[in-house]
Amino acid sequence: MMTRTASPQQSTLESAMSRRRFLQTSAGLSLLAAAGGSPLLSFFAQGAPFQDAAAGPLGKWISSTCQGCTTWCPVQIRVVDGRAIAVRGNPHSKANHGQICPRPHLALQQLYDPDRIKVPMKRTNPKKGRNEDPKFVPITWDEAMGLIADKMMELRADDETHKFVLFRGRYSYMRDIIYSAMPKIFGSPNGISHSAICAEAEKFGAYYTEGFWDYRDYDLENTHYILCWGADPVSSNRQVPHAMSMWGKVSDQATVVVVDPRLSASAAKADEWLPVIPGEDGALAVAMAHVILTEGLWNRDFVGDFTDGANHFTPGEVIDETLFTENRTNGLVKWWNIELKDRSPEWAADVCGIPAEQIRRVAIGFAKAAPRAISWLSPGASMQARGGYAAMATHALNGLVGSSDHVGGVVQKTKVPADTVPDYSEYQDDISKHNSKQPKMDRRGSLEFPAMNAGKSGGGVVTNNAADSILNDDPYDIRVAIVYWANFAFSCSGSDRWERALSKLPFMAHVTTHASETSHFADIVLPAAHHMFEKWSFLKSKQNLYGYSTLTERVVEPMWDVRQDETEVPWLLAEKLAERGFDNMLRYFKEQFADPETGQHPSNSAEFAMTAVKQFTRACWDQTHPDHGKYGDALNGWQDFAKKGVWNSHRFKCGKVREAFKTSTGKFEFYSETLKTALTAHADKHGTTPDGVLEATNYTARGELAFVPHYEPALRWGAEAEYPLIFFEHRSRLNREGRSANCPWYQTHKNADPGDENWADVLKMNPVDAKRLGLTSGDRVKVTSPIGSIEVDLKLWEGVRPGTVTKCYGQGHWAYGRVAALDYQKRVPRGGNNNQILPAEYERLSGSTARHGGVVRVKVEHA
Amino acid sequence: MAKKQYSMVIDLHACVGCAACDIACKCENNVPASFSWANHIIETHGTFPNVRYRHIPTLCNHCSNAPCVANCPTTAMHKTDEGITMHDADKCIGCGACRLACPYGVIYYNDAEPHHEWQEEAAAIPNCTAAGSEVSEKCGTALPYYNPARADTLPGVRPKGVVEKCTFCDHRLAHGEEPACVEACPTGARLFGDVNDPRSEPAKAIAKHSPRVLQPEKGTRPNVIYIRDY
Amino acid sequence: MSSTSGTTDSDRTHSFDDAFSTEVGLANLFLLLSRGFSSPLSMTGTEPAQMQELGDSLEEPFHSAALAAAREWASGLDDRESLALAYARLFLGPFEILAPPYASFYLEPDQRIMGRVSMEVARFYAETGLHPAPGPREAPDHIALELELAYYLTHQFITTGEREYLQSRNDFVGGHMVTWLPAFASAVIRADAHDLYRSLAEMTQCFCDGVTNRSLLSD
Repeated sequence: MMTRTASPQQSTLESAMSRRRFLQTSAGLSLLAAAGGSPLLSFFAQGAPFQDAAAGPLGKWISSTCQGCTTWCPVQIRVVDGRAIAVRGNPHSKANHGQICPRPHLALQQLYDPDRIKVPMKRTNPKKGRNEDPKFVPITWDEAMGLIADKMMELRADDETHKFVLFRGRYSYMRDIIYSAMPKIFGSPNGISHSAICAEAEKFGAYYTEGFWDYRDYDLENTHYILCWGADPVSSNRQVPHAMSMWGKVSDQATVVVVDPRLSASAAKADEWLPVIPGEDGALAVAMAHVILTEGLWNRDFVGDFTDGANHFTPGEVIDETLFTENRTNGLVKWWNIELKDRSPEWAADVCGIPAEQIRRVAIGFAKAAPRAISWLSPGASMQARGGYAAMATHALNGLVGSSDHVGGVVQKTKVPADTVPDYSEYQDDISKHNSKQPKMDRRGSLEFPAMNAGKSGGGVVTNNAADSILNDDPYDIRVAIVYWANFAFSCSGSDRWERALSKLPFMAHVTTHASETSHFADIVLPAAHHMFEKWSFLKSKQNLYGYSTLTERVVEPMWDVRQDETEVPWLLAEKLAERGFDNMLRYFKEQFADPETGQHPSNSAEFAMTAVKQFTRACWDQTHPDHGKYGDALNGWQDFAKKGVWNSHRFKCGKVREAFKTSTGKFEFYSETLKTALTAHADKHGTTPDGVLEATNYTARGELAFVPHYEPALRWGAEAEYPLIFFEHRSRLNREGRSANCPWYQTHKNADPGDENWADVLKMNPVDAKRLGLTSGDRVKVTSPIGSIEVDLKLWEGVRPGTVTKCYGQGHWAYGRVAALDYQKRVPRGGNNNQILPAEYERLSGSTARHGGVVRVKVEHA
Repeated sequence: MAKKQYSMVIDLHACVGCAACDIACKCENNVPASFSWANHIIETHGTFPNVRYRHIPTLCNHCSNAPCVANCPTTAMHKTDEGITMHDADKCIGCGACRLACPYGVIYYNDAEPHHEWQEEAAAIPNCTAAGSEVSEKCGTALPYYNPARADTLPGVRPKGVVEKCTFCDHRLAHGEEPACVEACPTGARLFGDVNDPRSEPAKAIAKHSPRVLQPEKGTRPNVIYIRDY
Repeated sequence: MSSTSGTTDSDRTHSFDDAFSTEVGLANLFLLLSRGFSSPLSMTGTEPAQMQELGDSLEEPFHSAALAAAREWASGLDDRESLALAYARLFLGPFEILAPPYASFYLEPDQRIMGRVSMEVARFYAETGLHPAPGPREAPDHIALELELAYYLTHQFITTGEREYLQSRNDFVGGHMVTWLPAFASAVIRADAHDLYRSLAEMTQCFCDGVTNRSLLSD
């Protein structure tokens, strides 16, 4: 306590003297105050005036992007005192109406998850395996990057740089720095992406009918009919917030039908639920096509008509092709003759489990509502072992009824201008040039893995096969790997193969926010910045007929010693490689990247990250860029872009694409010349015929069937006698791509997924089957497939088809954190990972992992 | 003019059952993970394939005839001038009478220190990952995403020994913001306002559709009102 | 005990130092009353000595009241549990709050807090440049907060000499606090829950009386 003796001004006290004597104090009384003389306050704090104090707790909204699913929504984050405390949709976004789904809210618990990795870690137990404790110890970034560079320099010394792999999972559009430039300058062809475990087979459907290798957009605002094929738009897949915000209106004005063996969130709100037998979607689709033709309900304007105006589509009868004149399509009568004429609803009913009358009713309703109608293809109906043709068949319905590129129908996309990595060929030396041309390690383009991306053999990736490549040293032994934003030991079917493959890898570094299953096998684990709160990058996406470019921003300063995976990590590696005598990569980063505003070249990793994102997005905000303002918003400088966070394209206009589809014929192809060319080219490459390719890729069709959308019977592992139930998995509206199970809010709200339970990972079974097996809700059950087993809780539910059982993907982590795992230290999972019972099966034409379509049978018994 | 009565209308037809409301509420109000001021009832009826599923969002009904207020032995649970059923943690003795009286199960009791996970000292991987306490200490708050605005009218985090429940985000209303669940709803299913003002969104919705409340037979006169079907 | 009580010589010539010490006395009085009407759990233990020091420098009737309060405070802290019980009975409930410590209770027609009165008080705080400290909060019109504000403004006046603080203090204390503190103090005395609170209430009454009848506050 100290006495302040500073006297107040004389005039202020003089007049008061006489009136206050009864409270007169002795002159020596000390003023109660804190050390230093400031007032002693317990209820108040001094400082900011009221206005600022109000702005304090309310904070500030800063723009970023959610990558919890592949919608990539523009969002804003409320920041108070440097902390992120809330999330909302970005009001500047035309694509998601400024709305978001539940996922971005969960991201707060990812950001502040105590189980995040704080510092780089080094493995000290050389033995690798699920049951080996890696004995991680903290090390510095400098040491960690040095160790990785040492291993990479060994490859250069041995002229084996192609034995380096960069595995990429989720990504931003900064990806090409770490995924393309880095391996290619170093000297490896092996940038291996996760795309084939995502949804490549879906693109197969749109590409071989209308020449569009991408996801479609949907004109929900104007549609009168939505037919979802495994799609669950209000819960998962793409355009989720847009779909959610429109669904009330859609349900008012349109009929909604959902094809799904499970009563999904969208099925629960639909007018009709078609609980198809898993993997038999193709039968349903071709039967609907059959009905549309026999009922004479195809769209004359888009497809054309019989020259005599009569309908000659009589079930079972072959038609003379010359009787029909097509307009914007190719091969309708061929399709009928080759496939559709015998595909009656009665035939399909037995195959796909949907009554004929319902098939007929839906097909007629869909066609009558058209062209304002949507046949909505999703991974559920395409990421199947024989799903390529189901994808084509379901998408071909849009051609039949003329809804492709039509108001209220299914559309393509607008241009979103962006730049990518500058040319790096000058920085490749002889070793890099030569070894970058070695075959890729995932065996894409081989006879049994055509992996045709947009028709090009070997143009796609066969992600899941990389594990076998490592295990079999085929085509060669992989010596060094960097894995970022991926967890293949959890997310790939046949995950046991990944555990073995990663155990075998001599050296692997994992860039990740959490110590995941994959980290468990790593030699070095590098803590990554969280994409939504701590990283500078950008994404391109579309919803609601708007394309957009959206920034992820560093909205809070990271709490831990993290780096940005796609920019800072390659920079730091380049520095270490330069120290060891290989400076090409660092020179490339320093010379070819420059801040568009200042012209300055980056001098450290953080500057590099900022410089690169500004350089790549210039078209959105820099008036000197030739594309500025040309395709949409004309933002006024970088600060404007950073503040708004999103660039919106002009709205997509229907009617232009259909004038010249990018197929071989320029038409919407029911008989796919485009596929014929692709299959023939792949066959030629391997000295065989398209039939030979189909045989090698597990398809049953031969001859002309190969070139039309057609029915293929589901492929299933396991004999029915031993494994009586078909297992299929589904998605969660709370999954942040399998990364949110460690968030308590995920667990406490899990029952928002129809049929699921909070804090559990239930196997859902129809009560009819349970009765037969003597099982009941709450039972602990062992689920066994031919490749493995898991133990989970059983839930009886009427929302699942008898004869099938289903479980959500996303749980069953034995690593990742102390919420995701039941016992983290003992590696006991909470629930079971579906990928332990799902086999590594493929839709080989696209290279996709066939995780859907009931690819495996199981038996379920008391645990 | 009639007295103000804040009400929420929930359009079940628009609702898609996503639970964004539930999570945003937890975030806004610093609610412990195990409590759900905003919650939902789920129902599956029928047998395969004729199955009907419903998701009904729930929250405190802010009843005009609130049994929790009537049964509170202190004045902790009370009605505000704007018709909000409000709780004063300082006056709460944690007796649980309100919870017993409430037919909707929307009142939660802190029988332990809330958010204790942020005080835990152990790390999953020692020296490499963090402990809960380390995160909260670095943030300088009881929980890292602590919302200080909540403390305008309630303890920011309700202490052990008192109950807590939805307040219609009265602290947000003061700033001209809507309740967090309304802002977070991506479907526009939640309409909030003064139901006694015929121009308000809830009043208009009630006039247009046949309104329903939960457990009308209890006579509680809820101010959370449902329209249309899920 | 009374040997060091302040002079009663009405003819004494006052120096500026005297006037200054009067403000110091007021500041300390506000702070100690604020602490006294806060939760006993938040007391530091130094309060009784500080109260005694204040009492030693005051005239009657403050002198006796302050010394009594210092005494009761010291013994109250020896048995914090009884003190906490009394505090709860008087100011928290549960079943009946014997002496509600909120201005609203005495000034609002329906005795509700967080209404107009609370909001006006909150606005006054904001205008002075204060904002609520982090952590659990009280309604703005709680007696302890109002007293702390009065202390703060007086403290600021003493240390900066800026007249605005004095003006604010007088507006707040004279225009608002004294309109309800007498009723509050009477309620505390009537409840007879603990000698500490009775003596603090008596001091409060003396103070209000001084403000109302004897223009205690300088302008």
